[in-house]
Order: sequence, then structure tokens, then C-alpha cells
Amino acid sequence: MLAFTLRRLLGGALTLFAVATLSFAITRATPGSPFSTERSLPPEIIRNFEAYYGLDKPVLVQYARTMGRLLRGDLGPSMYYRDFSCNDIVWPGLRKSVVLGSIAAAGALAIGLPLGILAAARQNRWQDYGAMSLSIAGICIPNFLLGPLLVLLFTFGLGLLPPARWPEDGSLHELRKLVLPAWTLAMVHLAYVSRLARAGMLEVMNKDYIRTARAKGLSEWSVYLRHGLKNGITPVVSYVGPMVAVMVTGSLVVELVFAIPGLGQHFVKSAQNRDMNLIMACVLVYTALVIFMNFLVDLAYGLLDPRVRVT
Amino acid sequence: MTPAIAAPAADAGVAPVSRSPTRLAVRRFVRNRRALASAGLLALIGLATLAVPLLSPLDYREQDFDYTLGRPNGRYWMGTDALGRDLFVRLFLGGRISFAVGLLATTVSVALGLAYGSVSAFAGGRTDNLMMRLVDVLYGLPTMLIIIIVMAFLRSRSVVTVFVVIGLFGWLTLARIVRGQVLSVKELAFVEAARALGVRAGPIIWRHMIPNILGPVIIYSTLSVPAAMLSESFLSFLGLGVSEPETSWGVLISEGANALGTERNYWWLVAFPGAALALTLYCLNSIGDGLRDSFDVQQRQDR
Repeated sequence: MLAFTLRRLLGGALTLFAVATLSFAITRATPGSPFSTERSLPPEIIRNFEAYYGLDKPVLVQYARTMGRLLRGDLGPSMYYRDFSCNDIVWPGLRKSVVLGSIAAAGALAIGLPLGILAAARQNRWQDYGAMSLSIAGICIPNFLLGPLLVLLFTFGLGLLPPARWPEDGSLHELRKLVLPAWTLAMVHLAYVSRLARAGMLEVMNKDYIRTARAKGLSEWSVYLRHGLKNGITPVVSYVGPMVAVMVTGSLVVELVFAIPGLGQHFVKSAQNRDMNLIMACVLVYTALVIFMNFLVDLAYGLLDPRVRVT
Repeated sequence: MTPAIAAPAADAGVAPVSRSPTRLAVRRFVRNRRALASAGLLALIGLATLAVPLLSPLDYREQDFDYTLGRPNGRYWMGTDALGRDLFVRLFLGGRISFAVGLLATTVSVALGLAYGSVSAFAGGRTDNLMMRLVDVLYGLPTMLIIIIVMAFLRSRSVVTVFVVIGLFGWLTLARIVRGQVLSVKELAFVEAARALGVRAGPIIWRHMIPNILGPVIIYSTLSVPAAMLSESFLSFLGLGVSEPETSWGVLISEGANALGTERNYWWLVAFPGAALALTLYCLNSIGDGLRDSFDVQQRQDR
């Protein structure tokens, strides 16, 4: 257990280092600077900016300084929003993104799991076909299309839900703003979760121990939920890791479509503004998040299935 | 000395019908109505993207200033965009780019994956181990985020950069599949025979191994075409894909989404490009699933 944690910690640090190096290399190797946008500044001022941000130094010196700064937990000053440090921008954004992502993940599991289990229990009947059609639709309609479609339907068509922005307070009226973005973010995962749950349950229900449980006279519900479920949903648990990674990319689109000032929006805008420090900050925070979630999932997997021993 | 295997007695007197695994697989595929219908529909969409100049007399750059953001009508079958350009023509011309990127990006990643995976497996030992550890490390990277940074920092964004960048980041899974396949073929008699005859490593990989591992490679490639198209649309949606006046489905959907912010309801700008993309993704996924089910008997899900 301890060895497992240590090894994953080391692996995670290695990945973070690789990501930092790669994103540093990309931002420095390509033309364009954060100061050459919109109105053109006099060359002296640009030189001053470059000196201030250390961009006039040799690349290797810049690299060493950046890495040293990152090790101390300092994400550096933003090069585009010049009065802000990346730490000031990234953490409030991350909070919003994580709240939205958690709602979406919870929703995907809370709806996808029962749907998949129901589809397996009623295999080849209308419940099954209905659930699987929904799942296929979820996979084939990408989130950047689903978002606008939902806005069309629920805001412009039915006038039920607000189209965008982050809730200003905790009142129910404001929280309605989260419904469409969370739905958009959750849909594809709901689709995969229900598919995996269905396939997992179908496989488990053919096992010998299920036959035994039926033979000793347990009710069908008891067989299904108490004996089948625990093994049947293990594929879903292993999907939760990749789900977080895909949700990160999804949140980029959702935050743009619904004008939510989360980390995803900062990432896309900083890439467009060539804000080198802010890009690196966003990518590193995202990578750390995904590594951490994968670690949790692996731990949970070991708890759920004793055959997968965590060593 | 083993005796020659006797022909099954039941077949005696009946002309033996030989069915190769390939032919059986093709038959399974053809019986899969969903996959077959998808193939037909996809062919139609593909043909329409090629033949669109014959279908409509309008030009994709031509602007009708009296009919901007116009509803679909007899002249503009799918309406017009904010600049008064015909959506029907732009949709199918954009489809060309979407298809091209999907196919070419897959080609790039298949070529890379084939080369990397087969060399790694053939070399074996420490080289193999090292090469595969590298793949593991690359797997841990947030691919899409890195693609976004690369695209944002590239000065010129053409169709070529889009598919090359997507392809460059898409070969990892394929390299693993190829390596596994090559490892299983590597010790078979015909490879040993080739080696005994003094054939060098290159020709052995190219002439003897790759033809024998093509099945799974083709199946995986079919499934990676929709993934590449999705990546392209995603990038274009963020404004990091192909640039004006070229267009693609992602660009069109993003233009439609931007027009939604205004008070009037311009549904056609989202609905038509969206339907084209969703249908195409559905067809490609169905065909890929169908191919996997009919060729890959081991992975077949019992249904």
C-alpha cells in the first residue's frame, strides 16, 4: 500500500515534469509573443517587458528559473493579464471547474448506472433498446454540438432555463444556471457508463455463483442487486479515471459555450493570447488533477475487487 | 510423422465448399444491417461532399447581402450564414475538409504506430522495454491540451498542420496493438523459415509480418477516423482549426453557436452542420463496431 502510493507519487511527479518541459518547449520554440497582440507597442517597451518577464535570457536559463519557480509552487506572473499572478487566476477558476465537473460526474453515474443495469435486466426489450439508443446518441453528439442544441431547445424554444453564466449566489433560481452546462458535460459519460454497466451486468449474470444464488431461492431482485451488482459495475469504476481526463477537455468547450469563468476558459484564452506562464499553469494543474483522480480510482478498484491486489 | 488429416466423413460425396475466414467475416458484416446501412449512408454523404458543385450552382464565398442569416428557402436550401453565404454548399465543402482530416490524420498515426510497434516488438529485449516505457509516459500526457497549445502557437494553420498534429498524437494505442500482434506472429514457423533463409529484419517485418497483422490494425483504424474527425471539429470549434474562407463542420457549428447569443433563433446554423457531423460519426462508429464484430471473433460480444 505504502509502496504503491510512493510509486504512483513518483510516476506522477515524472509525468508532471514531462508536461512542464514539453509545454515550456512548445511555447518557446514557436514564434509569437504575448506582447505582439492588438496594438503594436514600440520596440523599447517590448524589450522592457521581455526583461521584466525574463524572456531576454538564454532559453536554458529561462527553463531553469521556470522549473525552480514551479517547484516552490509559484506559477509565475501572467503575461497577458499583467496585474495578476497565475496563482490568482488559476485557483478560483479551478474551483468553478471542479464544482461543475463533480456535478456532471455525479449526474453521469447517478443516471447512467441505473440505466445500464435496467437495460441488462430487460435485455432485448424496449427498456434495453431505449437506453442503448440514448447511449449511442450521447456518443455521436459531441459536447460542442450538444451545448448549443440544449440552449436552442430549453432557452429559446421552451424558455425554461437560463442560457449561460455562473450562479451569483446559492439560491435555487441562480443554481438553475448549472443545469445545461452540467448536462452538456455529463452526456457522453452517461452514455459510456450505461454501456459499460450493461455489458458488465450481462457478463456477471452468466456466472456460476449467480446460478447458485438463484438455486437457493433468492428473489430475482436480491440476486441482481446484492450479488450481481458488485462485480458487474467494476468496468464502470475503471472508467472513472479516463472520465476525469475527458471531462477536462470537455470543460474547455462547455465553459466557452456557457460563459463560465473556469479553468477551461482560462486555458483556451491563454493559448490564444500566448500567455506562456498561464498556459503552463493551466496544463500543470489539469495534469495533476487527472493523475490524482486516477490514483484514487486505482485505490477504489482494489477495494472493490480483492483479486486486484494493490501492491 | 503425423498422418495426413482425413477429410470429415460427413462431407463425402458433397462438393466441399471452402470458406476462408475472410469470406466468413465479410458475410457476417453484410448480415449486420446497422453496419451495412451505415456504410451506405456514409458513402452517400461522402459522394455529396465531392459532387456538391454539381448539386448547387452557388459558390461557397458568394455573399448575398440582402439575405444574411436567412431561413432555408427555395434558393438557399439550408439558409444563409451571417455573411449571407449559402449554408448548403458550405456544409458539404466543409465536409470535404472534415473527411480529409479524419482520413489523413489516421494515415499518419497508422504509419507511425505500425513502424514504432513492429520495430519495438521485433527488436525485443531492452530496446522493446525502453520503447514501450516511452509510450507509457506519453500516454500520461494530456494529449488534447498539448494539441491545443501547439495549434495556438503555430502561425499558419492549414488543413495540413491540422491533420499532421492530430495524427502525431494519435499513434500510441496503435503502437501497442501492433506490438502485441507482432509478438504473437514473431515466433511462428513462417517467420522462422524466412529468418533461416537469411532474410534481413526489414523485409521480414514488411513482407511477412505486417500482412499477417493487418486485420486488427484496419479495425482499429476505422474506429480512429471518427475520433480524428471529432478532434478536428473540436479544434475548429475553439477557433484553432482551419481558417477562413476554408470551412469544416466544426467551424460551421461554432459559427452557429455564436449566432445563438442574439435574440432571434437561427436554428438552421446549428442544426444542419450538427446533423451532418453526428450522422457521420454514427456511421463511422457503426462500421467500426461491425468490422470488429465480424472479423475479431475473440472479442465478439455475445448478444
